[in-house]
Amino acid sequence: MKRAVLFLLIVFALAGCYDRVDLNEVEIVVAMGLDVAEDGRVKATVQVLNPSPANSIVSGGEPFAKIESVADSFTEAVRKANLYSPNRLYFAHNRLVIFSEDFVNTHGTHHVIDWIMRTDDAREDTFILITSGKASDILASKFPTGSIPAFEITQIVLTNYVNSLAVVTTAFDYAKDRASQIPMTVMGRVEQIKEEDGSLIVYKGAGLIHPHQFMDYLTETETKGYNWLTGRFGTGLIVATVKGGSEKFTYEIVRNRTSLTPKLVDGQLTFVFSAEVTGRITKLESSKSLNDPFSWPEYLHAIEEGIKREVRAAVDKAKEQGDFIGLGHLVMRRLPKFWRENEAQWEQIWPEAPFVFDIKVEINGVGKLIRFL
Amino acid sequence: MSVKEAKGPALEQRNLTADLDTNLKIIRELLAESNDVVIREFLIAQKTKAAILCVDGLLDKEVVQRNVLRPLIVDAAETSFVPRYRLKDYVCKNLLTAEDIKEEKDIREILNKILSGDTALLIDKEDAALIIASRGFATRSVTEPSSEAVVRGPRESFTESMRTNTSLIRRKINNPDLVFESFTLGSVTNTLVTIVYLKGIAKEDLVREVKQRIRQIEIDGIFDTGYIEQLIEEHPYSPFATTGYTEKPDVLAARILEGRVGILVDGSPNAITVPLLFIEKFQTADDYYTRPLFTSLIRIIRILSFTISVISPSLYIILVSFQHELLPTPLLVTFANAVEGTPFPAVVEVGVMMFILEIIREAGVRMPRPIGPAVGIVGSLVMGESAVSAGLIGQPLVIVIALTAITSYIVPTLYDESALLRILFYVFTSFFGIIGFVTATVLIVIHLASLQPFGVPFMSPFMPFEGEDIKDSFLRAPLWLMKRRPQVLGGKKRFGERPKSSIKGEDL
Repeated sequence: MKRAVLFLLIVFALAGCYDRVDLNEVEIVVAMGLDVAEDGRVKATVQVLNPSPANSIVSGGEPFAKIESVADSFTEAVRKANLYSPNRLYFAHNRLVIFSEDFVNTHGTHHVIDWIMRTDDAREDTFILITSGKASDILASKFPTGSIPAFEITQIVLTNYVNSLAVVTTAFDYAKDRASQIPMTVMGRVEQIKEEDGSLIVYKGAGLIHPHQFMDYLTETETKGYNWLTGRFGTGLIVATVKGGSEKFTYEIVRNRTSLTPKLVDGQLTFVFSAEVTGRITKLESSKSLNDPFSWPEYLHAIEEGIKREVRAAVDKAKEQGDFIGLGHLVMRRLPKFWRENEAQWEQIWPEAPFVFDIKVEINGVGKLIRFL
Repeated sequence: MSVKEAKGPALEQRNLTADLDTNLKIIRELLAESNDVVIREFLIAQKTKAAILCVDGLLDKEVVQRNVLRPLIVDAAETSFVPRYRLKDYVCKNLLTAEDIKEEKDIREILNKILSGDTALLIDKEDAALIIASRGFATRSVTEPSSEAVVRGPRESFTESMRTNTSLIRRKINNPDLVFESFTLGSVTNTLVTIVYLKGIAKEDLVREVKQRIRQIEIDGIFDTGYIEQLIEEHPYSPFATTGYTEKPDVLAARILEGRVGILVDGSPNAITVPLLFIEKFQTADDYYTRPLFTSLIRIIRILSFTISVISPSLYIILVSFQHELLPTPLLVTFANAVEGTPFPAVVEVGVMMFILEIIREAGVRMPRPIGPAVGIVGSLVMGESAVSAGLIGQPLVIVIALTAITSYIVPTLYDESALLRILFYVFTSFFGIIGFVTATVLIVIHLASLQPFGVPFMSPFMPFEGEDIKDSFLRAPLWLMKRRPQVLGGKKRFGERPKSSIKGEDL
């Protein structure tokens, strides 16, 4: 008993609030922007929370603050940011890392992701984004709600599934790409659009990032195609035409299930893209209703073509820039024997492989409507 | 057991003599200083000397007047025949109209009896006294329970009088198998202690063990069941009480019916029951009087509340001082705003607030009723409002502490436990963060699993698992589904099948 008490006493006395860091002793980082400084060095812009005591009479100003530091390397810049901050920077709540195109071209992305994966407080599910402008400008943008930019941008990223017009990529996805046969990573693209009274943030399209080089941007169609191929398509719209292009209609995708399977057909590598898409027609320019079931196949076909067009756009882009879709990785996993035999000539083989489509489109609830308003 | 330490030479005499004057002399010597002892000498039928002994205030004077003095003095004088010999038997059989009369020779036993309110009749030339039951003293009447409030069900509670209490139980369980067994404990106070159980339902081992432990008690005085509880429990240093208590006869009756043994102490309005299971602390009388679905919901809320009241302050410390990444970011912003500008680290804040919480509670219990509102005002306004607006503590902490307080009152039977465990968790967490928190949890679970009051696993039906008893744990099954008594208490069958309706196609 005596020994036990003594033991506890020693343990507690020696430990002395081990690892305790109070909430007001850390600077909570919510976003980070990476740019190239004028002298070519790394410029890290860190957005931190600026908590204002709930009971203070004087308003504490904006709820966030900016810390900028310039250094030779990224890790150094992050360390040096502490010089301008009264407290230790704390990265566990960092949701965004925004790369500028310049930064990727000058300094590369590899060491940044490496740092995120290895630092104990940074999270692997941090969103990584690319911008053609300055990352610091994006972090400084004002939002009509007056909220913290990092939170607003995070929300914009999270609601991407509504349109599937951009790509959502995390640091973990990046690391996963490096561990597999995918030569480059697709990051969501965020841009600031300057207007007379302030600016707008748009999250649309994607950027192709080779670890040390910025490659190209994807258009909306190509991005959607990429999302189809990788199974990341949430909901979205397909605008298609019928009657020889005279009538335009909009199809809203509600549910979808897709798969991309490499197959060997008589020794020839073939990719089969199959999709089951359910949705409803939301806009119809024709005055006629869809009551007539015999008119349906035309619409279904148009939707199918619309999806095919998007997928083909992405594949064409890949043929131009390199296999960012991860077809090589897919083949390695599904057809390991074929991969071992042909790994060396992969770059020549895959652009020749045909894409076969198996798309089932369903229109929901048309019969319930007599006539469009 | 009785008046053990004799004073003076008179007590060398153990039994009564055949001479009334000698007897009275001995008794007077023994009770010399007490002015509440009444010795009334008189003549039976104007011939034989006799005396009654009683203690003023403990007896029903009316009973003594009507059933003892009047028959012996007035009625006997009018009777033509009063025998000279074996007068005691004649008196007992023909004259006294009291209903409970016993013979007693031992002087100490006689003293014990009159000190508990009986009347002793001593007759000249007889070496035995007649003890006439005449107890009648001021007691509190049966009132509503004060600490076990109920919405539905009986509203009577035990009083300080043993007779009243046993009668309350007897009225609930109208069965010859209901056994009351009495012990006199306390070398000075000679307090009556009664155990109550149902023969054939309570395990014999258990009854034997309870009796054994009660017999072994050697103490000068017993004033409450709390004394017995502490003297018979086997885990005195555990934060968990391993005997249950209740002030409601229906609760005691229900527990006895499950196979437990109840212990009553004269002068205590609480009964204790052994053995206690942990889950019992979450059960209330209402649970069985209301329908099962709602009861199950309330049971779960009670278990959650107990958990919250134990861990919420330490959880706050973990979130604010150690593991900031556990909070969702928007919530973190709120916390950061609240904590910004407070002068103390969270550990100190929580410690002080927990201390104040206990102070306010204790003040609320002890203070005289008229100054009650003052504590409320000081507690809520000064401690809560002002501390926050002065920037001493953060607002979330006030919410956490308020939550702790409210949840700890939901299960009053576990209040002591939750206060102690809260401190344990607080100490471990403030030193080691989440590691300390987990360590404390593990320690408590190990401790709970090791408790075995009266040889019964405390955590039953969870550890060891008893499928049948789960029906009355965090859920309460319908009464007709709980077919057996708790396994650890013997598990005897209690219900048959569910009653069937005589109307065709109707389920009852």
